[in-house]
Amino acid sequence: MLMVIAAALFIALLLRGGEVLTALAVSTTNSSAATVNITTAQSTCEPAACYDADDTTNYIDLVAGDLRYAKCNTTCNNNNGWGNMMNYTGTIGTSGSDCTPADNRNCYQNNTCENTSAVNITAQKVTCSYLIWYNADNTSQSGSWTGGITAGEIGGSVSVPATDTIGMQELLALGVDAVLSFGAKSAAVNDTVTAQSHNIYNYGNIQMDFQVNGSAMTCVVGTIAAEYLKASLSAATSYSAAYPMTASLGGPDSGKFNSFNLNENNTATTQIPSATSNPTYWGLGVPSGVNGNCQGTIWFAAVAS
Amino acid sequence: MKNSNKFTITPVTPFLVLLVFALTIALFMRGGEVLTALSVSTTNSSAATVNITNSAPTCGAMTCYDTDDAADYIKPVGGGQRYAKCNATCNDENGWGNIQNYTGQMYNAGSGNCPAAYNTNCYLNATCQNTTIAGNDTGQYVTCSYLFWYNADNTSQTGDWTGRIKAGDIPGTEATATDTIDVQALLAIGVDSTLSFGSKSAGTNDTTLLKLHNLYNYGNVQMDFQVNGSAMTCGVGTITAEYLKVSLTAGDTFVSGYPLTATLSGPASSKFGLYNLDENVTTTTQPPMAPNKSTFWGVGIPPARSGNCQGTIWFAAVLS
Repeated sequence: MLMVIAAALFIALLLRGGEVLTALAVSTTNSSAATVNITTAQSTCEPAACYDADDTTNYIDLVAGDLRYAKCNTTCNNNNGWGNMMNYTGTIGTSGSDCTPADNRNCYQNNTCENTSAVNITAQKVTCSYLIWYNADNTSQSGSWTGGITAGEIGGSVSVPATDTIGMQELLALGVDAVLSFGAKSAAVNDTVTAQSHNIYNYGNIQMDFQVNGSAMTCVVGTIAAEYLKASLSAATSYSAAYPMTASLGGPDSGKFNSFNLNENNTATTQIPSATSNPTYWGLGVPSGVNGNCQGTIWFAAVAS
Repeated sequence: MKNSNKFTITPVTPFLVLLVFALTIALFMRGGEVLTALSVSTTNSSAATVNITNSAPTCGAMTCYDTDDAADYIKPVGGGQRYAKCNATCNDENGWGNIQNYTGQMYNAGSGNCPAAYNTNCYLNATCQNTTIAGNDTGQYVTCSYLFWYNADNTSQTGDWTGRIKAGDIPGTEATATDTIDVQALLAIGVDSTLSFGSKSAGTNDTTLLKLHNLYNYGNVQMDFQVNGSAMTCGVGTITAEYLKVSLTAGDTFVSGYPLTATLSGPASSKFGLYNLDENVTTTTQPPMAPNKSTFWGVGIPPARSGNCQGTIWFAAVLS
């Protein structure tokens, strides 16, 4: 019984003694708290490297009517540890390292660049990716674009952008309506004027003209020679005055419509860019001795204006 | 401090994974659509198409003519056939090969567009000949030939017949060319080859005219006839022409019969104006049979003749 009481008293004493020790901070051995305030380090990023993701060149090789993948890489460091860098943002465009607002023509933004791997406890590799539309501006800054990457910290500060320049190549790309149908015609009758519209589209990023030639049309009975197909840039040009196709192009200026001047789509928008188009006008002569459905091919080649 | 590399699984994580997956597929599909629709490059092509519609064939001026003498009338041949042709140049702007067939017909205007072939009024040619013209890929020279029977109608429309060529193209449109040509009147007579009186006694005459002798109309108009004859030369002696007598009625007396003369003295001489032997007007495709009528003959034998006797009777068809 006493042993029990003694044990209880001993425990109570210990508990009280602990309280006393804490409050008094006295003991045979003791310690002091050492404190310091680590200030927030400014993140820094090494110079960026921008490149065409498909062929790893330092120019962006646009794809006609489509998207091309480009990337900018850098390594960002924060001496507080890379975990202190909350996000990475990037832009690539014609107006410096931090273009805004985003549009397909001049400025692409990426607010969620990837931190691909840790270099060490303070640094991370960062990659910003962009899908560049075919109409990206080649004319401003002589086709030089700037990619920039910034590291944003938890405290809200942002690093100085890491930048690189990359060439934006010019793209001549032409699209055409799939079929130029003249409907039903009578043999031995020529159109009087070029009235059949046929659109040509600019799927590139520079103003373009075009060259054209054509094959003979093969009919169920007989053929229609290429020269019976005639083109003009104006509606209702007399058939006799329109340009006749030839089976092959005779030289650099053969079949060239120099005043077509079809501009690229230079609208600044985030929407999928529509190809610009201009009409051409066509007439057909039908010789005698042909019958039935006829089909031939017209070849168009984009040339720079 | 937030570690941006840390990935924490929360209750919404599966939903986010599905959402990302769905968006990825949607983006991929949209990308595919764009590529397909655009189909662009620096060079490109369009299919130029046109449907050349059928042009109706045309046939130019046609010429019908008698083939044997190249005249613009058809001159039937007594009891036979005469060759006639119609020519035209037919054209199809879709090429002459588009003309599937050429058919021709010749008909007298009175019968109009003949539906069936008849010797009297309508001749058909379903296989006219077409020949190419050098350097011409749309026109062909067409010839339709006909063999006209002797009884081709001359009376309707004053002998005018119409020749027509139809060029039919593959879709069935037709062109027609016509020309008119005269079918001449044809007087043509045929006779039985022999008028045999059998055996007779010298110094006796037939009492009536009973010996039948047929005349045939191998022309295309109604006809009468004129007749004369030569003397008959016998084994001994001759029988002069006037001993041969003819009548249109069987049983006429020998005395009343018309005696032949050695020569015709004038247009009405020995003319049997009431004979009125019509041409064959039967509409048939068979070779036409010549209509015929009878004449009735008697002979007188003077005395002092013996042996076989033979002479000649000449018949001439004349218009009724």
